[in-house]
Amino acid sequence: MAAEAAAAAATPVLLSPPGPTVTMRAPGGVTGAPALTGVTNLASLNYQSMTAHPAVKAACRGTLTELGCGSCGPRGFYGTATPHLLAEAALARYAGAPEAILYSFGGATASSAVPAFCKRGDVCVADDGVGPDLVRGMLLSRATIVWYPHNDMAALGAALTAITDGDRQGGGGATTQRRFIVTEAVSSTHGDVAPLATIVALRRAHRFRLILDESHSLGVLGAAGGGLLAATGVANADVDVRVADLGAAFGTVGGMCVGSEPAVVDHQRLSGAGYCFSAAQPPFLATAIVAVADVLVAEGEARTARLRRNVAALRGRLVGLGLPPDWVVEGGTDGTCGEGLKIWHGHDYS
Amino acid sequence: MGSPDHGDVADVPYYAALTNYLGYAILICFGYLRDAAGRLFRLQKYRTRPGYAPLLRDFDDFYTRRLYHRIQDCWGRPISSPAGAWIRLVARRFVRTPAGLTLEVDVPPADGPPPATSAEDAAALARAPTRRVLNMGSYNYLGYAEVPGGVDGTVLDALDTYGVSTCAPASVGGHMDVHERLESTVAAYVGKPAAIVLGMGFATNAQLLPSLVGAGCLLLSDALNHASIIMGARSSGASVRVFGHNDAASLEAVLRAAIVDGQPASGAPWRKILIVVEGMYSMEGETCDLRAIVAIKKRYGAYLFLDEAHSIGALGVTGRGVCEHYGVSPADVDVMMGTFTKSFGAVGGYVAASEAVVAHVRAAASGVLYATTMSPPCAAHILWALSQIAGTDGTTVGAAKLAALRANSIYFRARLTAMGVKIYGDYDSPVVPIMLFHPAKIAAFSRECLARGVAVVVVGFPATPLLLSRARICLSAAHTRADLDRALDVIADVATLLQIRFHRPSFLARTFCAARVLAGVALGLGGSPRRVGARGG
Repeated sequence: MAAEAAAAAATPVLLSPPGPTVTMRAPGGVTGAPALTGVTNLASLNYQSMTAHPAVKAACRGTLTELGCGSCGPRGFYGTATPHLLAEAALARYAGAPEAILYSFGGATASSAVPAFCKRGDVCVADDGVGPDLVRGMLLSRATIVWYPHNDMAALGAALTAITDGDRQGGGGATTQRRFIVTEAVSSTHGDVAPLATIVALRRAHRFRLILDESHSLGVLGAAGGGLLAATGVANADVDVRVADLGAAFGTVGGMCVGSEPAVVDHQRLSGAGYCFSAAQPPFLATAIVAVADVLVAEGEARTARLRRNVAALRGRLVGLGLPPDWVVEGGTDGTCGEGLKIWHGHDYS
Repeated sequence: MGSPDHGDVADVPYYAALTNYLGYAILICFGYLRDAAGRLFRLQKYRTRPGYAPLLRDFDDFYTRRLYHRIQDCWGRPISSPAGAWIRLVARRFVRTPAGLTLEVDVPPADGPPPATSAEDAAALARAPTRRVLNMGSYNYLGYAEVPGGVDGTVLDALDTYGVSTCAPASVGGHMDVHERLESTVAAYVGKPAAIVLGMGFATNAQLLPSLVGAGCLLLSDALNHASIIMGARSSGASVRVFGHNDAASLEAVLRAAIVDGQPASGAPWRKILIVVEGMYSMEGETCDLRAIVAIKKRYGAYLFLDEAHSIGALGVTGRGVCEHYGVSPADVDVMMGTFTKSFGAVGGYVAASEAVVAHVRAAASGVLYATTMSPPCAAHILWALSQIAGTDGTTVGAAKLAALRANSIYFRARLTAMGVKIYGDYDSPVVPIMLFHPAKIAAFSRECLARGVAVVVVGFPATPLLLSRARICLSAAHTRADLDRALDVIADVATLLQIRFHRPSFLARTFCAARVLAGVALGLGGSPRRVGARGG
């Protein structure tokens, strides 16, 4: 109890946009203490610094003035405003998919999309490092979950083989049981990139479908930030369901899902719980998505290259510092992909 | 208090029930016939990749393809204006694609290639015809969907000061001073020591409830609770029992039985019992029986979680929700939850409780630990709206809005009752369900009202029970008396056309009933049959 109250009191309070440097309230709770300025921000997920970009803010200001703040209804009941349609079209084009569906909250996207397709009796072979929303989605679906160690392709292959072997022994499950591999393009807990080409080869061999979370790779990897598929050249048809929290590189509040076929998006309009039973995203947050996509497409490689340079620089300095042995720097070592890194201190993640 | 009428299947007039089942039977038969023909003659549409199970299960997909797709023009209607009392609807047209019948915006065909950039998309969309209609469907209870100038200046200032989004969860930089101010203001407004806000109302239930109850706990949920509560309850790992909708006696019976039986496997006493109810049920238009439920909770030592998504800012003299409406002290409700989407014209939700509970939620709820916090301009908008509603801005604007909403609700409901249509809910509730019952009438009501310039919301299975399809009107402080009269004229017209005045049965319905009586008497079955529309007021 006391620990929780102390933790609540120690929550950092920002006074500025979450850019590369921020202004925050001086910790320690001394009233009247001057705010700390120029604090380097290594905490926010504002990878492309879009949340305070002038073009994005101008577009949002226009929508706020024209359409007000809230949407006052779910998407099915007059909550669909023209910015939502434009954002879905922009996202579909940006992600290279036929259609996209827009959710009003990134943290409820995976937990709505996964149970729409996965039901009791189906099986999900999931990377054990996936984020809490994917875990929640799989648990709610009541499907059988088989975990494999993070990014361990041998273990994944073994897990898939174990399931398909059961078919040969007379389960006949392949045509009645939906089977999914669930993983993240860039891991939210380990910061490294999934070996997508290997995963796609495995899914084809074993006839599994693939659910991929691109929250930390959309807007970050690939030229113009098209995501891991753009970076590795994997076709959209090979990834059945792609979800992403747009609260990271896209600098807004919301989530999206695209699929390899239109039915994936269509089905969620009635079966995605976070879509049907929740109010639509405020229109200005949808306008932000279009503005960000435009900036990323226009400035293309320049922005993503700058991001990669920063990541490599920080990694290099940290590793070169000679950290204590119980601090481990994770994350992609591959110069073209490593976007993030997490620092483990002993058993605690800090 | 609670109304005598709510979604009770036994409430449906026999004539309506019979024709209702007949209607569904015909639709389902035709659906299966078309599927069979499709499989015979156009196999491509139904084939899945070889070696894979179909992505969508047969029945899930059947309902969507064969029932919903035919009438999908009643939902998802896009608007190009704020969701105020009058809206501009963007026209759509049906298009036959390989995937089936879909709707797309009715953009006039242009010379040249299809749009390839977002600017071209926007230009194309701007060319689609629009139509100005009266909006009786949005959750705009106090009229904050549409304000002069779009939004208050403080919202645009917040956009400049804090940016579009915080891009972080609360504990790692997503908590800004505007959130802090919002949390303390909300806590003071509802009468609790502390509050926490989230960026999505749905997630406030679904992702915070698991931090309040877990394995070994019991969650007692009203039968008609919202999907977000059900999702939160299922994710929590607690045992969930359902009690009859708004039925305090049923709650007490279920609670007593659960206490006596103890936990399922061991029979040990429950670690915690949490009763979850809503302040106002939006499909029924009625408020919860709060006094009785609080009495039960005190008697048995349980906790109470109150979801005021629709009642905060809409009920009570100062908009403080169902506690103020019934004169119940907020201290008697352990956890008060609400959303900012309806009465405040923004987005997000809050949970208000004691300091210890809120600190625990902040430390343990996944929706707080991992999800992006509320967008700062939204937080600024809520602060502005709250200052008006609570009267802390020194004006009477908020009080006037609350009074207007209440007056509109009472007037509208009285006129509908006089009209003879079947409505549910409290006499002063701003949400009015008008019963339709038949599947065909769902689409007909929506389309006929739209043809006459009124936009309504209609709901059917699976959002409501199979027999209890309805139209749901949401009133607003922004509606003028002239707007309401116009809507009532249109509804009266359509009610005559669709024969939904169940309290004034049609000649055919009365003949049917008379025939039933005669048949019963002739066959010696006796007993007094239910007259059409006999129950309820």
